[in-house]
Amino acid sequence: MNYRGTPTNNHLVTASGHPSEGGATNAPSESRNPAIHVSRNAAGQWLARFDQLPPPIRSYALPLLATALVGVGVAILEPNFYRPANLHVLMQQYAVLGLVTLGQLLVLLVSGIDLSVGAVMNATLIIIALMNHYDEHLLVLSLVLCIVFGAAVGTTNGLLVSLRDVPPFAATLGMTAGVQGAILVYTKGIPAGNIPPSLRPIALAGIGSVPFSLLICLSVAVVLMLVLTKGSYGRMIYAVGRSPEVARRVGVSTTAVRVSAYAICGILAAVAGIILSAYVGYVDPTIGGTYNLQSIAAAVVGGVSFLGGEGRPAGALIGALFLLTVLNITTLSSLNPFTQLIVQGVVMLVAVSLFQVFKRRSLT
Amino acid sequence: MEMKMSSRPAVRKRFRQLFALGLVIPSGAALMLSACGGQSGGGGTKTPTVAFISQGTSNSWAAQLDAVARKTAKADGVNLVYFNGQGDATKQLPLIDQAIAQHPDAIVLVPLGAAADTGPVERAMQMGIKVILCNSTVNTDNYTSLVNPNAATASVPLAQWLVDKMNHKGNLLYIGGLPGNATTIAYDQGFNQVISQYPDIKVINGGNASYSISTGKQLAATAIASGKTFSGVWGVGGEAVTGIMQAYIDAKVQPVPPIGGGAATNGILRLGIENKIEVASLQFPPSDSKVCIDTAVKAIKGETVPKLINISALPEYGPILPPLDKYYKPQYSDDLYVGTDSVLTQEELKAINLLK
Repeated sequence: MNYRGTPTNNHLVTASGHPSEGGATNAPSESRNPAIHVSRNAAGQWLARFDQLPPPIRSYALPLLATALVGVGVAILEPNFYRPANLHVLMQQYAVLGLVTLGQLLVLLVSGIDLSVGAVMNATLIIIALMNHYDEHLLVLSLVLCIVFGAAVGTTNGLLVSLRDVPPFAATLGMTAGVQGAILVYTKGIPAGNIPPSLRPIALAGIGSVPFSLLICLSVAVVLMLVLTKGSYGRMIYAVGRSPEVARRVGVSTTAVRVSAYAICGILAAVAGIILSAYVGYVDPTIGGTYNLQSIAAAVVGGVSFLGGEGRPAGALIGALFLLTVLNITTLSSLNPFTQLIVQGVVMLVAVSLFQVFKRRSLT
Repeated sequence: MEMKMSSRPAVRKRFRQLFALGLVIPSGAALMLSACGGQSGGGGTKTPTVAFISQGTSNSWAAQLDAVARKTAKADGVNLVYFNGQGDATKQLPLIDQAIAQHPDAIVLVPLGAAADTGPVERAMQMGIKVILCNSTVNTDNYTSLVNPNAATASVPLAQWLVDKMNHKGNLLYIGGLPGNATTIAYDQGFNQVISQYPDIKVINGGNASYSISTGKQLAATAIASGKTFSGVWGVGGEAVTGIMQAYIDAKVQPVPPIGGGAATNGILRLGIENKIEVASLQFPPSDSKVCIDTAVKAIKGETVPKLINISALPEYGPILPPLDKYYKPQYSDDLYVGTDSVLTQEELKAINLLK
């Protein structure tokens, strides 16, 4: 159900499980080398075992394996990673990226993309700061307004994509410009106000060492998992992502499904914006700056396809964990800032490339 | 039915024509008005025109820069034509050529792209237009004057203050700016010049905040949680320093090590005073647009203006070192940059959301 029926290059896969890459038959000298032969057989057997795993496990294998490998590597190279204080900070930061990535997952599942999540997060902070400028009696109202705003932005994105056939990239990028422009016009470039102290425990406090924000994120993830795997809405989401035409023919309202996906994405971006505002505790009008691309990267690393109809919440969350773990480790490593960027880029590229290899196999 | 179908394209065409007219008429009117704007009411004396190509509506620094420039132009009796760069080098670039086409007496440019802006600046100079570069430079010496804070020299007293506070030893957490950015490079030059003299100080790189408070806080929180002890912290830019301070406050670490490197805002001063954190900041003052406009006016009048005006060398723009109370203005918001209130009145500050 959750895997695209894309044609696979079965004819390129040899009996031992190796993709021939069109060149396997041109390697007689290599096959004469016993060491290489044994190692190929071992790899082949390993991959054959991989092929026998159930599809859901196969699809999560790489992100899980990558995260586990990073975890082991970190234990050796940067033991400070496992300090409770660091894990607490990681959990605080993870909750925000996790929520945005779950929203992005829904949009990617319906063959879309949302580049306005960062702008929604910025607007959320501005709404909270301005409505609680002098006291906090409007806090609850401001939070409701943030969520309504996120839903409105998402719904507008969905309508533009579905009814006006605006490409998702253009629609959501235009929305970003519109929201950012509105923020600047309203604040004149200078956002007054402050983040109410009573909001901050959402991000800074929790049950034991687990922040409330992480509990919110995981609760949303569980609900999404149930909705996507057990309910008819999940089937419709995947159907619209795989083939809108077929979905339409079987009576699925592709417009309603797409709009709802964008609306939920907007709501989750608003919730993430609220939590990030509580975490940062200072009026930073560019608070959502990096979350557009980070959420997309996390989803892709977690096995979500740009083509739609492929991916799961658990994968998206694992992707977000992998991404944040890499960022956390490069920060802890005290590498030169330029080298940190290179390491982050290379690790991401390797992870995504390896994922493609595993994905091809999981589709066979 | 047929009529309805055939009338649709006609309606669309009509709509397109109206839309085009709607674009053309205001644009033409704006051009004519701005061209006439250089002429005074009828006295025959020409009011000098200065095209101010700003960073534009993007953040509080730019908003204060614009407000000061507008006020200064009014006081100097010049006609200021404003071009909004929207904080984006690619959006600002065509505006320079639009400004040149209007042939103002001077252009005050806040360059967002050093390389890309070079050609238009040289073209303007060839046409006899005075060009004042404000707060950043371009890749040519062919301009009238450069008014610029020098972060490379301004960061030296801050770094020296920091290493003295550290007793010249221990771990120093470094949170960078934006790799490759000219201001970041300048900050780093001053910092490295001082740090290289103290081998007992170990610099721990904590990543690049990219001038984001949120990123600065996340990086600093991670570094604090690593268990390493820092005797001092350096952040490139006010945003990084604000994020670092928030991270220490939320982590409830006491005492907070001395922090250096930010551009002085009321918010940094407030956090420092409220939480007893020692902070040293330099001034990257938006109020220096007064100097930019004044310099343009002098150049238009034919007076000799310096090729380089180093804002950081002016006494009123010196380093902001503890005690912070004498700089903090509780009546204004966190976004106020030190010095803006010396140029703008309380009413003018209120108009741009800076009064609490």
